[in-house]
Amino acid sequence: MKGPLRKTMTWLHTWSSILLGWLLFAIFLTGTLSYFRMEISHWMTPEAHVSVPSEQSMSIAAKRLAEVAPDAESWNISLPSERSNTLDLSWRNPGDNQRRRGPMEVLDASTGEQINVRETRGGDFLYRFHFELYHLPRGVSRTLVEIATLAMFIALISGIIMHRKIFSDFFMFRTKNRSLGWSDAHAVTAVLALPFHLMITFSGLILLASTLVFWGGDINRGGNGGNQGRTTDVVEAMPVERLPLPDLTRMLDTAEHELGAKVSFLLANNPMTRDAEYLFYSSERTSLLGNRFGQTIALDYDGNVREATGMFAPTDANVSAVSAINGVLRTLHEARFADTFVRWLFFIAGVSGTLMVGTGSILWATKRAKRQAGQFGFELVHTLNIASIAGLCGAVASYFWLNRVLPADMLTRQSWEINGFFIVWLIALLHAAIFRHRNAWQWQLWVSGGLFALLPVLDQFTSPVGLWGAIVDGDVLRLSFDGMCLVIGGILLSSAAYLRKKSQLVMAPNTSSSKTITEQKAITS
Amino acid sequence: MSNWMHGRLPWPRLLVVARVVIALVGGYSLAAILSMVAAKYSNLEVRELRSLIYLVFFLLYPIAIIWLFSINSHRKALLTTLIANACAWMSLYALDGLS
Amino acid sequence: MMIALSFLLSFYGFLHFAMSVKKHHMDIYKGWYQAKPLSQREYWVMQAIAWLAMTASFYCAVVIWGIGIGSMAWLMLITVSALLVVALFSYRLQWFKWLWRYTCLGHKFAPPELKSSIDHRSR
Repeated sequence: MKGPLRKTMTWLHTWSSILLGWLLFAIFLTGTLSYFRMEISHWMTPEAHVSVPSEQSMSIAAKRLAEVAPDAESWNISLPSERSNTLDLSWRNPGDNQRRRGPMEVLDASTGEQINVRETRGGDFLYRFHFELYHLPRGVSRTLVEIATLAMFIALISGIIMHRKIFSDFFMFRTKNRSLGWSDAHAVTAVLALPFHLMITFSGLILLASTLVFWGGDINRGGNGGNQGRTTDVVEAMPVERLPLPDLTRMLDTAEHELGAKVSFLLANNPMTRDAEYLFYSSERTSLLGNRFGQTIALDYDGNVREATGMFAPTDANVSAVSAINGVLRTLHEARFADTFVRWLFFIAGVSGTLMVGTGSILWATKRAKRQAGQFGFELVHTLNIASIAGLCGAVASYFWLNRVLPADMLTRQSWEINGFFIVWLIALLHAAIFRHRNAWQWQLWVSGGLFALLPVLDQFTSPVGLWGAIVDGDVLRLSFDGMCLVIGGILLSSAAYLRKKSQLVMAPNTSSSKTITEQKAITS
Repeated sequence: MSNWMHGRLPWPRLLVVARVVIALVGGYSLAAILSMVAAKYSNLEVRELRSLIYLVFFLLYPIAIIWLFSINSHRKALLTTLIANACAWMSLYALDGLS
Repeated sequence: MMIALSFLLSFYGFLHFAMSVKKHHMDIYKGWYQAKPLSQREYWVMQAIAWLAMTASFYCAVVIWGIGIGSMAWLMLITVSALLVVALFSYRLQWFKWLWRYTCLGHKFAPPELKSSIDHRSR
């Protein structure tokens, strides 16, 4: 019984993961980068690097809004926090479309000067890409991602079943010649970060569940869209009596005192009127439960605490177990609760997941290299492996490079950053198809690794504030980004170096056995 | 059987396709029905029912696929799907009748 | 501070887990003492220390972040510390040996034949 089961599980593991392996790699890579979404967005708007968080931010914001939008229906003030350094203001004038975003400004958080940031999608592009791809109809791409996730989940479970031994022998890595081969790398990254893999795959499945579970029509659709609590009725613009601006800084103190946490966002409904409502929102979380918006508190015009309404209304304390689980899964998947340290932990786990998917695809090719070289299927997989693993890394790196290299005031620069991403990816694909037997792997890994590793250097020279300045100002967001680039670049460069070492071993065949030579040929070809 | 795949299965190629279909389709319907049963059985609010269905469905579907793959003989796998599906349907109707 | 403690404890635990694998045990003692297979008692002592360290590290994480976030953060934390142990073992065996010798039970687990010969000499 044990033999056939292991065989079927191996088969299932292999085929469920290789068929969508490239898509999975792309999802994992961009998803992992999305843990640093704010960091990426911050890095990609170098004009905003001059902004340093300060205590006066709230009064600056209040002064500015009272000046430019005294009659506004609502104000949004996004204070500098752990995940943003600037002071972002937006407001909605009476009679504006409720769905549309109103005018907005980015201010220097300590001087109050307006900052004109360059046009860019920033980290949002990668974030969107990881579950909606690009330029595909939303339904199609989401379903595709969901199917890939399901395949991944099956691959994980069958992998666990086929390698049960790994768990009894927790630490049994094969350390032949003191260096890890592809299969060891695959096993290590899979086993060590297994809790993360299971969590991220299952919560991903649940997040996009509506694409596969479309039946059950007697039950209301919902649960997926986040904005459904928002009311859409257009409020009639009525002339109301304007009062002088209350002391928002003092109210901020009250709110922070009441919440016991740092406030990062303020929504003011009908500001500067008698029935004003000031909603203070904190992104700090102390538990995995809770709604999308963390903790909120509402104050009225006189600074007294009152019940919050609308989508900020406090959720019931006694939520059922089912929705609690759902909420926890969502929070976990997006790591909403994470401070900088935990975010880095999640990032490292994500990187090991990416490596697991990548090495898995490589393993498929290396195991078949001897028997199937020249066959169409094998050559296709081999080419796509190169392009989708090394090539995609290069494309992401060039997306970041283009952001800094393209002129800041260029028209349609936003779309050219994204076009550049895809053009580089296409070039990588062509290069992989033509040179797949002539070290395409090594070349692409060297180039992408180099691009990533040099990003901090680029950052130093194309930002108004140098890296030293960033360290002095404590610009953790930017330093995180640069650290992330060094990590990814280091991994890519070291795998390129590993391949070079292997190919040199092939040149001197007397140092290795015949079996390993064929393996090496497969890797290096 | 050609050596076009690595972990060779004890079945020929056409049967592999058949098995994949059995596992995907049979597993899907089984998981779907059972999650509906779970939804019927529980008395939650409408919005939460959906979450429950998602949770149960995505727990059961991979398990069902793997289970259907792990059965050795094809005939047995086919029979298992059919019987399991029939039982699940029947229990759904039985619950419907009660309510 | 607590984070560092939690991390170090889990690292310490994983050191013992790694050493309780027979093959690794042999690798480490090769060239230091004469390698001798791990005895059953030694295996259980190591497992016990490892589990204790892991529990303590989990406790630290819960103290820092609370039970919900803490358990998840702890899982990520041990992922990273396990990766570190693997990296040390595969690429820097000497460092691993050093750590094992001076911070853990390296000497206590020395093979008896050699231990007795050392004792003999000192006597």
